[in-house]
Amino acid sequence: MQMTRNEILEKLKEILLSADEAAGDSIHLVTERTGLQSDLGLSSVNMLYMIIATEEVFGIRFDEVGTNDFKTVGDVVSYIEGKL
Amino acid sequence: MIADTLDLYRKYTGEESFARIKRYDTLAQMWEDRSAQYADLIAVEDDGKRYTFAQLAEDVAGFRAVLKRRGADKQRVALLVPNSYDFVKAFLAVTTLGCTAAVLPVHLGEQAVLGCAKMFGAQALIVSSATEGAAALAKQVLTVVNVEETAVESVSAADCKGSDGCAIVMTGGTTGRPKGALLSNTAVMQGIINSCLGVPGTFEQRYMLVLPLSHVFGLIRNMLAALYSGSTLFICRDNRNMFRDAAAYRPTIMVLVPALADMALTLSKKFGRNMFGDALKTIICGAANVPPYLIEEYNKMGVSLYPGYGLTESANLVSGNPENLKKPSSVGLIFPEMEYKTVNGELWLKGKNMMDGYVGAVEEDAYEDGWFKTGDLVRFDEDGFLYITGRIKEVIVLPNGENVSPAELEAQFNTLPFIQDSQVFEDADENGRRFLSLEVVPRATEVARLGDIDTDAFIRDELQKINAKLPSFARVSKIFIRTSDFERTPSMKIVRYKKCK
Repeated sequence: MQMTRNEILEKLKEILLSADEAAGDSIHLVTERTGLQSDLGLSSVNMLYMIIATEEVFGIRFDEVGTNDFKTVGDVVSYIEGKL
Repeated sequence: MIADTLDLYRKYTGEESFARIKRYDTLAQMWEDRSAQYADLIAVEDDGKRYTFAQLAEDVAGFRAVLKRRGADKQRVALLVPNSYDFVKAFLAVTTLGCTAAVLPVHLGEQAVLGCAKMFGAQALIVSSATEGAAALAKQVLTVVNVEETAVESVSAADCKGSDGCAIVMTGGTTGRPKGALLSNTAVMQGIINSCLGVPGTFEQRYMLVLPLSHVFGLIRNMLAALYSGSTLFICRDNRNMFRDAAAYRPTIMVLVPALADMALTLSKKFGRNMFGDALKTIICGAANVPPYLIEEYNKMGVSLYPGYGLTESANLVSGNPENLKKPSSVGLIFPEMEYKTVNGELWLKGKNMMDGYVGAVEEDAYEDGWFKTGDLVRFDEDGFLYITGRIKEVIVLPNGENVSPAELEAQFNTLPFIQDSQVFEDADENGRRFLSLEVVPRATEVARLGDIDTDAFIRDELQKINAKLPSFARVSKIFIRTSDFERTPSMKIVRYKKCK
């Protein structure tokens, strides 16, 4: 599957919106520099949700990485891009 | 008062299952009997391998020999082993050898491992390859045994008594200071029996383990209840794989904290299928407040979610709610023969499942006249169903002298399907006038269903309607709608505001 970083980001935002039940209106402000925990305030359950939903939506697997390996939205986009 | 609920539990459990519930004095007796009875059934599935009860019994006897050989058959043995077949084997070997297993959380660092082992009076420590590094300091003062060590010979289970120690499980207790709860064989066995009551189809189930075994909910309600009931325990080693594992294994029962149950529900709705698989019939949910929304939504998927209430100090469950649909806000009926009373709204307990006391900390206030004071504020309805209304230490004393339990108010606001979580706290204005405020985390999937309206205004209106029905002194003066989740503890509970702002 060929996708641009921007397309990946847009799909990831949809996942983040459902991962963080309260993200609501602020989701459109998310950029690749947005911190997953520092800015979005994702809890450990939200992070787990994001990973599981991302695997399902993009058809990839998060091998050999932990949730702590991702600091920003861009880190996740890069990981997905590398796996597609 | 002694809980007179045996007949009710017989009805809810079903005669056939109820007749199979047998009492044992010790875990050793239970394991000897059940492992022989279910010899050919699969006891554990882990890391791609299946182990029958007979195989596990053989490995347990072999590991008892390892412990003897290494001089680790001491009074208290600490376990620092991640969720795995080896944990099950080591825990059974230690406890059936007549020793007490002090179960340590695997995320502890070197200093903490040594500190906890000392605090619990452990004379030996069992580690795995994954945790060996964290035992480096402890190795200087304790006998350290790797769980993968084997022996050609085997050693039989010891002849121990119900009053002998069985497990030490870490808890924050009612004061939050870390310490261990010492659970006797009698307490653990009662905890296991309570686990089997009130849920239809208790025996020969397919359990999947996602909770840490260092917590009583994982250890007793999940692992030991599975072994007792001739069920298979599938061990999910990495929660990121839980739904892939579930699709392949097809569990019939899960033991979950509400945050995980909620996450799985959201994913199931998003992807249009039950993420835990179509064989799932039952979820046992506890360790935090269970919102009625979860019960209702899982019921639509054909899954019965049963809330319960328990403590580390009570070897897990004190009550379970078999009437989950009729009384979704209740944590159910107190289990048979448990002694209980309420003193100024606080639940006090006595019973076979209660701990023998704390290890590693003196908690003078934990008991009064032989009763364990839970610190939980409760009420009972006309049918004897229990409701948790708050924690004593969280009670807010308002300037007018009225006492308000935040949890009781939060439960009211949480009945709205589009509210995921809430927190009521004491607030103050610039003049120092104190009042109550409410912060809520909306549930995005439900908010999305509201359509093209001003959702913030709608949510505020609905919260205000509930607010208006509260006694005047308990009404909140300000409402904040959050744009992110509350900060949470490692066990996924909401971090309460430490000080009233």
